[in-house]
Amino acid sequence: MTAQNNKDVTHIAFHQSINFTFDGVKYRGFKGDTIASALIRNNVRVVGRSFKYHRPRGIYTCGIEEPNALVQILSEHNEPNTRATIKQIYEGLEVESQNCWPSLENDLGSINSLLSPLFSAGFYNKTFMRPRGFWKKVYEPLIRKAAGLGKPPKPFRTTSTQLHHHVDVVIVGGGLSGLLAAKSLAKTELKILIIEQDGFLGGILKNSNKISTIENKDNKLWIKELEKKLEGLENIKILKNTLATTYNYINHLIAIEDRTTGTLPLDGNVDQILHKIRADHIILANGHIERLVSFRNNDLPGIMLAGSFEKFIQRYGVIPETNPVIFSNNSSCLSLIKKLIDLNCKPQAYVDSRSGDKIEPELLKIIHKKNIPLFTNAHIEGCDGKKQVQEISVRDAEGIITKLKSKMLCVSGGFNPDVHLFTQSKGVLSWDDEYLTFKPDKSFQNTIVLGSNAGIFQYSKIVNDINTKLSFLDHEPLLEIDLTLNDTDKYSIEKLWETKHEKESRWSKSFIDLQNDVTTKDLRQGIQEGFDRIEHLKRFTTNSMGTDQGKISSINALGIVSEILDKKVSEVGTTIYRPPYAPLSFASIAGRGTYDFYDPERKTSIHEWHKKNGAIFEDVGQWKRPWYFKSHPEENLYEAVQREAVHVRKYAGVLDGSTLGKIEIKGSDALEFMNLMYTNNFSKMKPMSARYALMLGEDGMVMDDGIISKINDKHFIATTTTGGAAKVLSHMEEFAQTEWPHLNVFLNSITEQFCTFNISGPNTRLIMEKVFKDIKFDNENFPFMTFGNFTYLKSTVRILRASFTGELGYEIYVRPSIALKLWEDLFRFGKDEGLIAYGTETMHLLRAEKGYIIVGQDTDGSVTPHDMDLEWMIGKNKKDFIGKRSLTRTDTIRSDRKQLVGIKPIDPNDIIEEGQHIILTSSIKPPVKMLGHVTSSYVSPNLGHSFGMAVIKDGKKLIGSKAYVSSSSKGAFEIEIIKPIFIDEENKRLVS
Amino acid sequence: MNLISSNSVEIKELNLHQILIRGDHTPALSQLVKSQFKISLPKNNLEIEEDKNVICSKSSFDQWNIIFLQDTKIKIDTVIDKINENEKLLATNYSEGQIYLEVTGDNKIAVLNKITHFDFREQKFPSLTSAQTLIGRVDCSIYNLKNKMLITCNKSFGDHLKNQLIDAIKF
Repeated sequence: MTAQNNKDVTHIAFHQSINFTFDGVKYRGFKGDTIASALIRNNVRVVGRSFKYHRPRGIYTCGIEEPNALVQILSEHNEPNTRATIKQIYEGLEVESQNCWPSLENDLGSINSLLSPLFSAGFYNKTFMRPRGFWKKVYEPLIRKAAGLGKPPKPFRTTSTQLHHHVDVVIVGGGLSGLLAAKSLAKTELKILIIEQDGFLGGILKNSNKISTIENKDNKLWIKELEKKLEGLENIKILKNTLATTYNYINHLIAIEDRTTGTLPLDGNVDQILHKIRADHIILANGHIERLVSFRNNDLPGIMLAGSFEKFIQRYGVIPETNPVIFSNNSSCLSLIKKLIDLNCKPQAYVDSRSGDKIEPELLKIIHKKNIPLFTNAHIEGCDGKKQVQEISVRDAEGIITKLKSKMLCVSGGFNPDVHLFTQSKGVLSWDDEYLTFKPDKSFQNTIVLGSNAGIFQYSKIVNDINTKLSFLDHEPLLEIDLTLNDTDKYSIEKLWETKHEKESRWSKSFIDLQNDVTTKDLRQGIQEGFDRIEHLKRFTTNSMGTDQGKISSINALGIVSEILDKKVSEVGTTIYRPPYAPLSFASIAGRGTYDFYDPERKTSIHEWHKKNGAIFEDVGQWKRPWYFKSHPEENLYEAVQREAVHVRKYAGVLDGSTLGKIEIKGSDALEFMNLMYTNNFSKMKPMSARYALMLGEDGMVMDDGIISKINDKHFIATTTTGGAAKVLSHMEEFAQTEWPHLNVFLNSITEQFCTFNISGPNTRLIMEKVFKDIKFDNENFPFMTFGNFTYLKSTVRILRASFTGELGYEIYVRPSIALKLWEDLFRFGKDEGLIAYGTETMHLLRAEKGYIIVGQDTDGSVTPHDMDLEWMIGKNKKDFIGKRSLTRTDTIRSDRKQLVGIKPIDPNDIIEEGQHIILTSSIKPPVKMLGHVTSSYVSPNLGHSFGMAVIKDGKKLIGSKAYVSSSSKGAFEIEIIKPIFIDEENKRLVS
Repeated sequence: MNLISSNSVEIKELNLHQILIRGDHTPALSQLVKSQFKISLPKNNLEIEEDKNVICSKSSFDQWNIIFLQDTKIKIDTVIDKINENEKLLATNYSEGQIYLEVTGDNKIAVLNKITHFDFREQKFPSLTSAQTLIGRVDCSIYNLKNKMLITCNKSFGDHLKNQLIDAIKF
């Protein structure tokens, strides 16, 4: 077989040769070539191995529908599964075949082909059931290793980006129908986006020989003039090299633009743009797809769809084979035969399943004139050859087999409208008995389908169809256009899904899905085993699955199934084509949202100070909070926390608590609102005092906590947990606006308007007195849980006497602009008093020593205030509050609910681990009765041993008793259940 | 401060003052705002009233944003205290908790479209209207001030948003 150049094309620069490698061998192509066209030009036919049987595979199509020629691009981070029929070559491109080892030529995996009679449909389900224990350690690792096509790409930072569009109309496809639609809408005021998957407009006009002139102009000139006109309009934008992959709900389209077609993507340059398009109307004019015919060995390299063969000639200027055999069941090969004859190439034979009287007279005339051997009422029985087609068997009307020596067979099994996007949009298809295909019937969204995509396979009907369907858009109606055709005006077809095998053997294969190695025999077997619904059969056989989604074969599968079941195809129905239409790389989906932009980060106003002073940060929601501060580079988390925790209890420490949620509540009914939102009673609370408060959900479970500062009955400030800030504000707004609209109350988040510093430790008062010289911090003037507004650097600061460590402490609320100054002042004046900065881990340890819970750590949405030993926070005389009714349910008043307790190990050397189970026995051999689990645990330098908080069944009654806690290192060890407070039960430190 | 100027887009970070007022659209509120800021309250949701140096936008049925586009002699805290004297209103100084980015230039929408799905078309987002949406996955307010966009977000997200915008221009 030899390929030949056709230099009468405009898309290949024959003067510009390009060098590239395939499996390490150097080849030469031309600017504009795809990998496939360049390999064909170099007479390379085998380009990969099949998925399951590792059969040699060649180039089957010339576009996005390619099921076989999937390759790995070594020069682009090892990008796998790239369609060789799409990817253009560039100087230095390195390509490798997939699914073969050690080489494409000699692939050890091809032993699967010999064993293929064993690999019938459902092989995995049936074979790897027993012995049971083998699955996890033997079968699964082996199957996973063998599975998949290609190797994962090397890690790299994507240079893809994303772009959002909002337009009135999107036209998918810049072929004849798409261009005519754009022309008719050009004078409207509609904002229009045209998406074309190719690097040029025209589609079939340029990719085939079917239409030579439009309006008495060469079709290329007609396209050029129209494109120029469209590009000059402000309301029309054309995206080329852009493939629409996904049609989501409410006319939302995803399209991927390749910005480096035919060039090496350079670091720092955008290589792909993922377009996210929202439109009022989407016009699908994305044409049709040619389908195969199943026959024996219909996967051999050298077999190609006839339309693709024509496209290689017309578009890429390469004639894959000068004397191919052509096999068809329809009228479409006329233009191909004409083209071959124009190029002085004569088909070796033309085989048509139709009887002579149904074949187009023009076609018959050419065939007779050129003495092309003609087989009518005939089929291809099968092909033979070792690694490519060598012999083609033709069965004529009498059943006589004629063997033709040829290395290429062009096949056309008919056309399907490319309905993938339409079905993704949830549009409904209907069966067309004339053209033997499913076509769009009812749109679910604002979708308009035009041309062959709508199942219109008659050129003379296109204009009328466009005028009818676009009339509601106030378009300019098109006049009829003159076309000079090398094709019949009306396409005709005869049913032929599969031909009969002459050589029946366990190894003979007639493929229906080339990408997934599914044979027609698999379909029969599946139905025999009861999978007679098309969706079940799809999953049992993997037909039409994967990245291919059965583009060239799914309708054939339905045809074969309908014949087996003796049903109409319309009764069998279709499977749903899954998005994306063609694979999208993860890089394009991620876009710029990786590394620094993976997730938005929130920083406090003094973040830079923390960085300079050895802070190691932890993520709390999106906040970056200092986790601990390293006093020297070698210090680890444990050492730092032990040091910080001792220091705070002995001297003083300050925590950046700016991340705490802060909400300002004001209105004439603010008091009533707060009494409803929280369990506490704020009615008798004095102005300028504060209270630890609990918020419940309607189910009575603890939702959040915080400190409520009461300015007066009409004005409050609430703090929330860091993670709960947005949720609590939203919860409050919802109740204010929807449940209690009669209350006059308004809320503002002030989380970001103030920084919060939590200073605590025995020396705190000394430091505060130095920083705020005019304020009296003694107990009489500034008692526990009171606050005041003071002036600092001409700005108002609010100081609240409260503590989350159990030590004497204050919370300082300060404007961000002076926050750093105040923070540094605290250290300037606190230096002699031993002030240190501490992080969240130390804060957690200190609060647990004091027995303070953290909502979300010690609670999990299933605990009540009683469970947490916080019933003292419920206002007994309150008429109502959110969650009140739920607290009297039989389940919430059960005495044996899980309740909060403290635990400590009997042996002080044992370390309690968070999340471990509290059990009654030292044995952890199942079944073990579980009492509850550890919610918090720490090693306390102040206590000299580890300790924890846990929720256990009937916990309050078990205080004083012993139990066991499971351990990751030693099974279980004994613990004592105690009250959940470990330091300063009398609050002497707190109110000192 | 000029953050970046490239590809017909210019982004400046501004130090502005902002007051967030919550309260029903009553004559008392209208009068108060008019007397303090010489500006009327917008009638419709997301609408902006503009004066030389100040804008007032209606962010929801009871939420009003007043932003001073230039340095103001008004003592913000004093005005807020005055507004808060009315027990049925809540005014908060939002100046320091937000960042303010002014985006100008012919390509401003093209750049913003890289990091937000927001529909900037004139018929959907006319001049002198505002909106709340995600930009670079950060919750932002956008004010369409005719030939420029003013974008605000919580200060804690400031570095992230600025870096996203710079990246969108460069990349």
